[in-house]
Amino acid sequence: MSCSQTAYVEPDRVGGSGVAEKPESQLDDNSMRVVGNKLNLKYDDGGIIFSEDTESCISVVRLIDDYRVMFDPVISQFSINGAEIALKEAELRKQSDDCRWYRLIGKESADTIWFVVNL
Amino acid sequence: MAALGVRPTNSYGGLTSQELAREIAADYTPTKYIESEADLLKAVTKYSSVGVNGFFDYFSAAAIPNTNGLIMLPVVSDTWWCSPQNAMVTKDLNNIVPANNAVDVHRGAFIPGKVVRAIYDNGFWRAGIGYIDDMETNMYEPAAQVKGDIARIYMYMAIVYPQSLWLDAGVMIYTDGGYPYICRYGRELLLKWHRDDPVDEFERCRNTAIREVQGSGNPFVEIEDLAEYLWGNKAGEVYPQPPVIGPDPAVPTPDPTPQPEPEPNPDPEPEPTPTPEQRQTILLKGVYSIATDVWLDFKSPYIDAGSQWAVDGRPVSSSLMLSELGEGRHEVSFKNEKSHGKLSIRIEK
Repeated sequence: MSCSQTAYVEPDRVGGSGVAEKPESQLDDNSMRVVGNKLNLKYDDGGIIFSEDTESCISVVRLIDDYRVMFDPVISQFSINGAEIALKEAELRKQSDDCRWYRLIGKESADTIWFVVNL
Repeated sequence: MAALGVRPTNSYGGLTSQELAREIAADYTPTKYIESEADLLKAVTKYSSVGVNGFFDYFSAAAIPNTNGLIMLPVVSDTWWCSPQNAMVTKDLNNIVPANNAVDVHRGAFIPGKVVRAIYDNGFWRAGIGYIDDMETNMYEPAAQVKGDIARIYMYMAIVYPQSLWLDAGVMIYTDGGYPYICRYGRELLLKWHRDDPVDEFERCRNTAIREVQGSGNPFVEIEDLAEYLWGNKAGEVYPQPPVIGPDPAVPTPDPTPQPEPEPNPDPEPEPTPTPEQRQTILLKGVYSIATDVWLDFKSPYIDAGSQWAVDGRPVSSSLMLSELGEGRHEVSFKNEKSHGKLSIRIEK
């Protein structure tokens, strides 16, 4: 699916130098996926349901083993198989007409997780 | 591996996955529950009695000296179920084990698992911190000699008391809705314990005692390979038919007059394809075979039943024959009042 309009969203910073970051390579790829920190759920692999509810909560379920990931961007809540993972940061890094790139950083592990959805 | 005890007369031959699970649940749902605590204690102490030395304790190497120090412990916490099932799971003898009265304090509603950092350890079982995919969580780890017993109880509870929405830590072991009932972490753990600690004489005797009271025991104690066909090495395979027992070769059978073979029909009518209503629904999955699956059904425990569906952007109102779609990748999308989404499937020959 191609994106007709693209807007870079400046990260919501807490502290920092204020110097803008270069977009990571993840932002050049609009395929639907949840990757990072050993997560590797890609829509194109097949058998993985990507869904969004009326309150913008995104759910991803891999049918072969029922591995479930959920991200609520409104309240910055993230869970794996129902168990909440504390987040240090959750930001919308890029948005186009039909695609959103969220970057999550874990509180304990500081690993980066990318949620890219075009639903 | 020790030989098993009671074998039910029902056969699961020809069944697989969801259908197999449903038949097991139908056969093994108790027909009677003990209502009074006194009768519950009587039933449990009957099979767990170790003579004059007390009662078998699932959470200690030492026997419980008397009933004062003994509790009826639900292995799988009733807090994981919604009402009214939460009341039944505390009465089902398959889920109740005798334990010393210190266990509840230290175990609570922890999930089973491998404890890496123990907070409590009595040399027989442990409670503390373990990991699920690098995520820390509270767990308890039974002694090696009862891990299989415990695992088979969790398996039984998943099949007989499924939930559409699990509560508390239940979501970390079980899946919402139907098959497979147990999540990946739960399947890997419980299968390992089930294999490492096979059914022994004590567990068979316990199962027999429970069957006498409730009308049914634990299928995973009685039929050793069921777990493999549901979740293990043979998941997805058809459960084999029981062997056909022929006539006793010691007894001579009369030699019937041979009948001529009927002429084969040169133009037999093809077998009619069963309609969606006549066959078992296939839950949504990633890969389909035109030859064996035949149909694409729009059903998943993760998607509301009243959803509107589309395949490759084309709205559909009922199941589709896979041959109509053809081999290759297809996009299945859905929407309902609460959500919308999609998945990619692959259809093969």
